[in-house]
Amino acid sequence: MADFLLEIGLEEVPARMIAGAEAELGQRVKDLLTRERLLANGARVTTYSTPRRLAVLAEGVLAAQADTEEQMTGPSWKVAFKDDAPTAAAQAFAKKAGVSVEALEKVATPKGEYVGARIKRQGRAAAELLAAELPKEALAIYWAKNMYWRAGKPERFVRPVRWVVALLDSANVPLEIAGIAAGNISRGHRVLNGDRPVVIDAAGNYSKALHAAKVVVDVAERRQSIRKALDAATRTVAGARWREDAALIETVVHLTEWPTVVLGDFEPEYLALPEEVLVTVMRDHQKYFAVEDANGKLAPHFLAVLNTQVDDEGRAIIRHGNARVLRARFKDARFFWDFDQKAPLAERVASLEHVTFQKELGSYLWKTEANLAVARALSAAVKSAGVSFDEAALRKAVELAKTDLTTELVKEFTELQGIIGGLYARAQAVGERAALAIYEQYIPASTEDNIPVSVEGQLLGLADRIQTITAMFGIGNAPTGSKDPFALRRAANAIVKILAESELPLTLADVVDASGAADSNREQVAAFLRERLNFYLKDVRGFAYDVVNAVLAAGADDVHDAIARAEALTAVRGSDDFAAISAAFKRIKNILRQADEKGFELGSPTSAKLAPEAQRLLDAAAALAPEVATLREDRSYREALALIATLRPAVDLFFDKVMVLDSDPALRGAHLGLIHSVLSGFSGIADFSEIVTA
Amino acid sequence: MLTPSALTFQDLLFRLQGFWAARGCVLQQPYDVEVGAGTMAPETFLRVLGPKPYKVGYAQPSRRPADGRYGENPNRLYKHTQFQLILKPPPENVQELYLQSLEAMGINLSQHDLKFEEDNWEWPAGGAWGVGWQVMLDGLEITQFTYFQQCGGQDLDPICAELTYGMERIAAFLQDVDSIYDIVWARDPETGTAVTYGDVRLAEELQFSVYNFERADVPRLWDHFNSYEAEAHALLGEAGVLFAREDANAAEKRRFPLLATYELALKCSHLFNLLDARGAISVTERVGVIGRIRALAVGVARAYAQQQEAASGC
Repeated sequence: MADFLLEIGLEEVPARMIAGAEAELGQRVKDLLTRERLLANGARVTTYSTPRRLAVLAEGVLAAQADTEEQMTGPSWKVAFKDDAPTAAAQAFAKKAGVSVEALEKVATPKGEYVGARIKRQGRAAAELLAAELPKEALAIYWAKNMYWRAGKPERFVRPVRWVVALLDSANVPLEIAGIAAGNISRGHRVLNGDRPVVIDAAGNYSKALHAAKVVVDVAERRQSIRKALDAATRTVAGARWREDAALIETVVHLTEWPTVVLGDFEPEYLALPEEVLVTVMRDHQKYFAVEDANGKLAPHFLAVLNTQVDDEGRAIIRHGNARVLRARFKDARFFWDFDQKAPLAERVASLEHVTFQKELGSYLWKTEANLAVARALSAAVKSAGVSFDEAALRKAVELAKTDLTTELVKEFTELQGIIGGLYARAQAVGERAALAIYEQYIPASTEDNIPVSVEGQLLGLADRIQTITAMFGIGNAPTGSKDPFALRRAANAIVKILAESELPLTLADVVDASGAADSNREQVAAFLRERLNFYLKDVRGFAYDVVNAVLAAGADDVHDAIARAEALTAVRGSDDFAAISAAFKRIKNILRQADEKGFELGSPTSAKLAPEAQRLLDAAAALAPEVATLREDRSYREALALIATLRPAVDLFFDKVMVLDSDPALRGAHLGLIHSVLSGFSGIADFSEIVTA
Repeated sequence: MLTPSALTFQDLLFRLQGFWAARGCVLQQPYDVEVGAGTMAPETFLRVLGPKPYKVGYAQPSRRPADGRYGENPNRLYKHTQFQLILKPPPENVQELYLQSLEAMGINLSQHDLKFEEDNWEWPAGGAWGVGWQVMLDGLEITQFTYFQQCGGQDLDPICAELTYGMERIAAFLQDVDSIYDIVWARDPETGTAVTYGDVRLAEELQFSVYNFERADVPRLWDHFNSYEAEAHALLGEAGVLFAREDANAAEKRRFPLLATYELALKCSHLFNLLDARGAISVTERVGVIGRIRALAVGVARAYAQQQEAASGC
């Protein structure tokens, strides 16, 4: 048994693509070894990556595939051998089987004696198989953006392949990837190791050899070492803490081979700028971590993760250089902030006419007016349900929401749109509620995000998004398949999330109504929102898919209600009685479908003389129905479902003893009417037939 | 802490040019028509087309009228200097060569933090794009490193590496000055007297900002634009006919003035930038005007490739 190592040496791979590619390469190698029967029991596959390499170490690889033997049966013995001498038939069979005539054997079968050949297949050597198959696997890795580099364009990959290491223990595996022959020479850290060759003497020594060349190939180890280094650097400032940022950690993990951290300072005067601006500059533009004091307020320091290790002098140089860049950026931001105040947001509304929202639709001025109409309609619906909010503030917020697009600060930091508008509105005393709504208009940006805290912010967010969706659908820009260039799914996810997690008394239909959707695309927009509700319940709230299907089949308009029903259904679905009811309802549905296909008529359950078991079901259902209806109206779904489950004995007995599709049409009609009334009477909370039972 | 003996602006350029000249590059002079970036100079835009290997470097003054700040912003310029390098095809050790070029400028890499961070480049009006990195030195972007994949709407084979050094940034960083205008451009070796970037260029930044933002005559700019465009189209039309003609002889094709046609396209591109700085191009117009420039640039690139083929065929 051997260890197999593959390292693909690359020019710096984009940080965002590395984790996925590392996992994919590991899976491809594992699948290949498994497919080719080269992976021993208990084998272990480990993956590594840095910006300059993807690597896989498989421990427990067989030197060769096991030999196999296969029995092939030919003509009957009598035909193949006459007087113990092989006939033409024997020779033909031996040739076909690839064995000599002498090797043919007699095989006894129930039909008599036949000629058999035992064909041995020698397992191929691991090295040979890997050399033949692995390059294809490596080059098939998915990259979000590829490039050509060799003349004649023989292959595309994320960045040029510059070296390849492929070893079975200490032996080279003679493979070639993108014109590079594999060997046992890797490369170390660009600067700390320079161009000294890094010899990998055995596959199992890979990470140790690279460590000596100042490369930490294990991603988790780098992540941990960065966290520790951030802690250590922050401890030099009393009471300070670095601001947690998991996404930024991942970025710097994939930008470094030998990470260290330096803490730098900036002038406290820049703390007068909004924290959002400072953090954005540090995080998005410079990939620095922000530092906060004991009270959680931003402190005038930053943490830069370096891809090198330097002496004290180098540290001072690097700290100084990074601080210099940051200062220049802060200075710019302050300049833009001051400059933007010369024209308050209120004066910028008219100039939105020159900012295109969508070519076929119009400018952001058009968008603002459209949003105002949607917000008015939503306001009316919310007000009539007795929820109070500041309507004037909402109107002001909608009116000014997009004006920050004309500011220099947003042109510089586009990711801060909305936030800048909110900050400017606050600074310009537009009113706190309006300012907050503007500030919150783009959240939730993802399913993990919070929704706006203010009702005005929630309504602005709903109005803006549903207006966009409806208008985009209207000009044929609905998402298709994986294509969603206008991020309309994300917008709809946010709508569902706001409805689900706020107190707003709005249904999906209310939102679609308010959007002023034309009759022609109303149903398309509504279906789109329902599909996003399905996604929300399953992927965000974690309800089982069959629960979601069952609940939405019984109504998908009121988001809060759908959640309540899904919770109730999830709570009871595990019980035996409920499982039996679900199975019975599925059966009812099938029978009704069959009856429909055969053209059988539904009759009234009381129109024929029922058997006692049928009568019992009819009575039980009739007794239960009013109580279930009351509970349903009170939204006491769990109690209602528990009550429905008590139907089980009657249902079981019915199916046990009664032939539903009786040959007597009158009786059959009565039976069908009975089960139909049971199905429709008790499916208001969820369509139980959707529930998957074991 | 930082070396006060850092190289002057012109020394940096000498070093860089010397480094690449020693590696077989042609050193060209900057192109003498206004361009927004070194990429647009024909030594890049046209030379990257076709199969012929080429290595060239030049310090290209790059004009971006909208970026002007009247000489008041310490970090932004109307006209900055790009040292532009094209390696076609890129050698396998192109990154290592690049790092050596930094050391040639006096950057001791063992005392700095260097990262290659993903940054893909495109110039839609030129039908050009590539993938690559911004090279970050202690948090400062000092170079755009691009593997050109397409130019003038044409797939490149071989591809080339384009290195664009931002000279003002690098100089301000190495000299540790907070304003570009404080960069020492040259120092008299005898007297030690320094001439700064401000001495050399401040008046230009101020006056061109005034012109670009306030004085450039919009109707005339449109006239110029339309007239250059019309001439370029006329030439391109003739080129199309000529290169499609099988009986045309190679000499006739070779002498067709496509290089001049390309200059007309560059003029249009610069006029567009001026009009943009004057706020004379609405958002809706913008896409259309970029499309007009693209038609010229792509048209020249296509004809140029045909011309090269014709020239190599004789």
